[in-house]
Amino acid sequence: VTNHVEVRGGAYHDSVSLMQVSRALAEVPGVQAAQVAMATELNMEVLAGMGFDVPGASPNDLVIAIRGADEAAVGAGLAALESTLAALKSPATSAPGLGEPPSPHTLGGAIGRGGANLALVSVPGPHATVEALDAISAGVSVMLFSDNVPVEQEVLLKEAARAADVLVMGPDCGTAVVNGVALGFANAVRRGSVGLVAASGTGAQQVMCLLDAAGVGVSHCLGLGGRDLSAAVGGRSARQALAALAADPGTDLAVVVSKPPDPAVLADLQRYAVRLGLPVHWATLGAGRPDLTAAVEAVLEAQDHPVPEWPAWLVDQAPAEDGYLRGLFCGGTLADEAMLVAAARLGRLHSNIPLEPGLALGPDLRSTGHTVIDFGDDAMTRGRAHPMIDPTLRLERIAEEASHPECGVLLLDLVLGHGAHPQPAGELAEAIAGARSTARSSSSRGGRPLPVVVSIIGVEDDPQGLAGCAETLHAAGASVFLSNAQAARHALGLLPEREADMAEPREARASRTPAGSTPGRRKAPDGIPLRGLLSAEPVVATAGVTLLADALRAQAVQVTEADWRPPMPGTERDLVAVAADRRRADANALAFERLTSAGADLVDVRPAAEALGLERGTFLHAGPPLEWSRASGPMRGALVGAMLLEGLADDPPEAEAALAAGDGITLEPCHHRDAVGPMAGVVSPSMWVYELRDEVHDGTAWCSLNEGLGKVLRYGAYGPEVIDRLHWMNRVLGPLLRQAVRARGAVDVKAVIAQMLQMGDEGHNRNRAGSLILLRELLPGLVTADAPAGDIAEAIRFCGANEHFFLNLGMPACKLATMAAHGIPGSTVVTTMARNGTDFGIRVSGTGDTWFTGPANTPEGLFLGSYGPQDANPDIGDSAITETAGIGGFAMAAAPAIVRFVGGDVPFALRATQRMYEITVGEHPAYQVPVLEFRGTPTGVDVAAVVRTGVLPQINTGMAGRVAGTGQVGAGLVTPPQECFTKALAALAAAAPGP
Amino acid sequence: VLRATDPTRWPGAVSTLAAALVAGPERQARVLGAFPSVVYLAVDAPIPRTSVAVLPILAADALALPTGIRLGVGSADLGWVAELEDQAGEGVVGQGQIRFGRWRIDAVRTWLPAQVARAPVGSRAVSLDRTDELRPHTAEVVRHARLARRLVGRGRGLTPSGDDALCGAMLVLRAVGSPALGPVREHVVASLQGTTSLSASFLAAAGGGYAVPAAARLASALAAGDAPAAQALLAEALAIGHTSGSDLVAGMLGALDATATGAAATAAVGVNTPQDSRRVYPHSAGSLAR
Repeated sequence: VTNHVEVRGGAYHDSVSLMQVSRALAEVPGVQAAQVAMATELNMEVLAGMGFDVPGASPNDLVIAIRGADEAAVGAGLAALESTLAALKSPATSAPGLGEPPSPHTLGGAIGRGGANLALVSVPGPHATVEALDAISAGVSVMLFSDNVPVEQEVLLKEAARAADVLVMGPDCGTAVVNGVALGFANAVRRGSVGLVAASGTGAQQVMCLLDAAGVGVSHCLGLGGRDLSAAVGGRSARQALAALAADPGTDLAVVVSKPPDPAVLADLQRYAVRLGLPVHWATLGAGRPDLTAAVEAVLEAQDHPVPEWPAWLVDQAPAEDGYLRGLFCGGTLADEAMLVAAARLGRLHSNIPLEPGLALGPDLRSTGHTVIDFGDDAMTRGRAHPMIDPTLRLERIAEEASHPECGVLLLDLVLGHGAHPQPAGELAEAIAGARSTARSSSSRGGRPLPVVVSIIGVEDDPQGLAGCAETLHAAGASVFLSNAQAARHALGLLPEREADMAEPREARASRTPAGSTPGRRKAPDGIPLRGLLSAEPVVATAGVTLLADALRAQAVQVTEADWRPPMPGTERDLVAVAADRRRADANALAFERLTSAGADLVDVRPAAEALGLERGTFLHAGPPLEWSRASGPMRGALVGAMLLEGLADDPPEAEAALAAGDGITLEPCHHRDAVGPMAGVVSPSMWVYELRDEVHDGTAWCSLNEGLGKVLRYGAYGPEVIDRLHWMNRVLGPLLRQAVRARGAVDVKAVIAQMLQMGDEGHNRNRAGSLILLRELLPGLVTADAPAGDIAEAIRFCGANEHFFLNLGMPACKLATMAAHGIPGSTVVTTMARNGTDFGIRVSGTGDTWFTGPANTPEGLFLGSYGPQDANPDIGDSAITETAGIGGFAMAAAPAIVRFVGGDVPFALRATQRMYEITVGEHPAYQVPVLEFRGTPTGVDVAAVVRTGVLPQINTGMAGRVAGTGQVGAGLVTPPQECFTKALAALAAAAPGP
Repeated sequence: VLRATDPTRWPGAVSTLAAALVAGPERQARVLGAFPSVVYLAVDAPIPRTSVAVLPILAADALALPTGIRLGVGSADLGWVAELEDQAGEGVVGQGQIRFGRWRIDAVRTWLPAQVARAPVGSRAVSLDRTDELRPHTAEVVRHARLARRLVGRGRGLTPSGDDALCGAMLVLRAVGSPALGPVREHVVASLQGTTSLSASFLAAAGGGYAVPAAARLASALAAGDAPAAQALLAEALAIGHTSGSDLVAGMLGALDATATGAAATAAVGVNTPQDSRRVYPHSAGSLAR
């Protein structure tokens, strides 16, 4: 026997798909056991229980465990795994062609891509609210298939939906039909003029299938979620749904279907319905209330429609000699209805969804007396698919019940339709036949009969076909009914006499709100509720289970599927708090407006002592705050060089000692002085800096002069040639540039950035065009400067030879933009990304000057000469301000040639930019990418979007040598550590006012 | 295999106007025209002229023509144009299927095409200030229905301008509840052999108040007297086809001119008064016969 266990990162699949994969694997000859699942705690326990060695993994990893007879069997299993996983790849996840945008990760992205007017969310419950809020804020009604959503989040969603005039169907809404399109579990019923409002999925399916069997069609079935008519939720969605049906010309009457509702909520809703003037029938289950079949009959009678004989496929079964009723259901409402029907005769029934709390089953769900189990209950679907899709648990239970003599009669349901198991009858029939044979051959008194009764919910046009499925079950020995209430009654009749000797109770009649006769109940066209949901052809965006998207495609519905994946671990609550912060949309819009409208004019060149007020002994550095003891090699090298430049030490050892002692030395981030510095970013008082102005927002930012490439201070080199060059820059270059700028007048740096992006630069690691444009602007002032011709020639040669001459102007221009967007309460836009060689730090508009830091990653990319990955220092520099403002890595598609410098290929460069649209709040109006049809660059990183999608900002960067004094070793690509964003999100969530 | 993808076989949603034809016995069909987002099939059937004779097969990004079969996939995923251009383009419609070339569409559900909404009783219709030679011609036809044959089939293209104007007129007449609709519709139907079969199917649909959503909404807004909505919908309606949109609008306005009463009617025909860009035509509740 060979065990194979493997963990794959970044490979999210929904639980239904993984169930299909696990099944496919189990069918490979020689494979004895297989489990493919997301590595949640629960699933890892299951793996351990199966006897596999459990590896370390996070819940967002895919874990694959295969046990084969030998190596060959495991190999065959793995081959089957690959082909099944490949087949799973939906259109949403298949690799896009060159230039095609990558598929969106969020529902909001999918809505934007496909122009949806309806959304379907089936991601795991803890993540569902954030996705649903995407739909609401886009003005799109949403069906929330997901369960395990907290009730306070349900209220929050429904409040937001009412304000936006959209409908939230759910959470835990299994069934809806909108304009003839079935969402989730729904049957292919005929179209007609009866509208359903359903707080119960299988209850609604039962009502629709009975109506269909009577020849009556359905206009719409608007789901509500099982809790909508509870006191906590107060019928919020029910009111909107009824109002929408009242205004729908295709709907003549409505049926409200529900499990037992809160009496006060129901009474309120009934009063509301009267005001709408729409005739409403109430199929609301409860003790002493009519069952669903009786409610449907009342609807038919009210319409003067004949009530048919409900279809049934009867077997002449011997009644049970002994034992109890055992109901095993997939449909919660069907289980409820069966219990209500049975309780009138049997009294107490035990259940996992008991009619009274005292009758709850224990956690092991062991049957006691008359027992009904709902396998679709929230508690039983955590981490696995609904039993209407994955019948395994119930099938096992059927076999188990059959072996116990106290199981007298088996009562089951089978739900057909879109979304349900494609061929459910065969497996169930097999289980039924097996159960009956087990009972017959059981040891006690030569075996016992085991009568089996099934209620089947379906119509002939369902993909599975009603008659075929019913006949299959019938052939296995079960009596089959279209009416669940009739099935329950029939089962009662098969129990031993002593159990069923109570009098037949009187049938309660269905209630109905008297129809109003207001002729003008239809609203005018401009007042159509729910933004016209009921009159538009559904175009759907989905996030979650692929099977549900496929079911829509099979109905000729245009579907855009999000390539959804779970957010960064542990962020669910913070994401909801931030998504529900009402200030956020406006705050981010303002941040974006400021970011993109900020000006950037080069107005002067001055010594740092004068411009920044730097005192002797104070050194600015890149990134978040840092102490010497934690500083990396290149940072230390640059500080040593600056000490030598300032004459604070005579040699490197003395400088190092002074810096380590810290006496009279102050280290401070450039960002704290509205300045930025590339790489180590060290600025000392005698260095000259560019001064840029944002006249729109009255901002000023500064940046040092660029030293060129190779052995330079910013990369941590401090040899004599480095110091000599710095002295020359202070003495000659700085003053010359000042003359040139002052002679010319302000240079519009923003305009240069806009131009360079159209000339193949991205403004961070490729500045060739920008540098030449800048030189062109400054040349007249340089050549006419009052200085020796030799100095002028040397300065021009120096600037012209430096491909990154412009970087030190692009960076402060970006700094001005992000400064303008900083400090807006509620905004989740990142206004600083900076690294000091040890830590990566970000600051966010809505959280003020707090840094959120994590250990800096080491870039990956291409190396100069003989340097290799082992020589690279972790990420360093303030230059990620370019990405923060929407250029650099974010504009990589504008600079495909850069892949020869930083690594990757051209499709990667295109994809990098397109991927960033998903984590940014807007597109820059001035910075455009020609190859993307002059689309604006993705601008304004949204912390919440980063955490949700797991997509980290793409940064192009230079690589410094790890050892002080080395200089540049290469260039490459890097991302921030994700904890910067999860910490920032937590702070934003803490600052958000409650809903 | 978990996902069967046959790029030539698609589920389709059938307009309720075409449902009987698609569900009925198999009939021969031929491809009238193939465009990236729509293929027109002419169905060879001895059916009454008011029924659907042309079935548009619509990609998800196509205009929602009222008699069409809508697919859930966009034109980018279909790629049928190149192939159909080279083929004879024979096909079959019926028994819940549509087959042509290599393609097969299975009817899986119906959809309700857009229909004009009848204006509430007492509404005052609103017109728009647009000059178009079709406008007075259409007004003439509305006043004297027997002249309808003069417009049917007049103009170029798959949907001649005269037909588009008549479609617009019939939409508006239904929306305002004008008794003029009956005679106009009758004469149009009697003249359908005078135009292309595609246009004939649109005229038949418009007679019942069915049209592409933009046209149906504009006609409804004009009839209901909702001037801001009409202004907002105008651009979308004008964008239909190459000239179809402006012809439809001209027909709508012509019908409004003809149904206006008294002095307003006299002032309406052919007069362009820029300072009065929007006129209100009262029509009494008595004329709103159902």
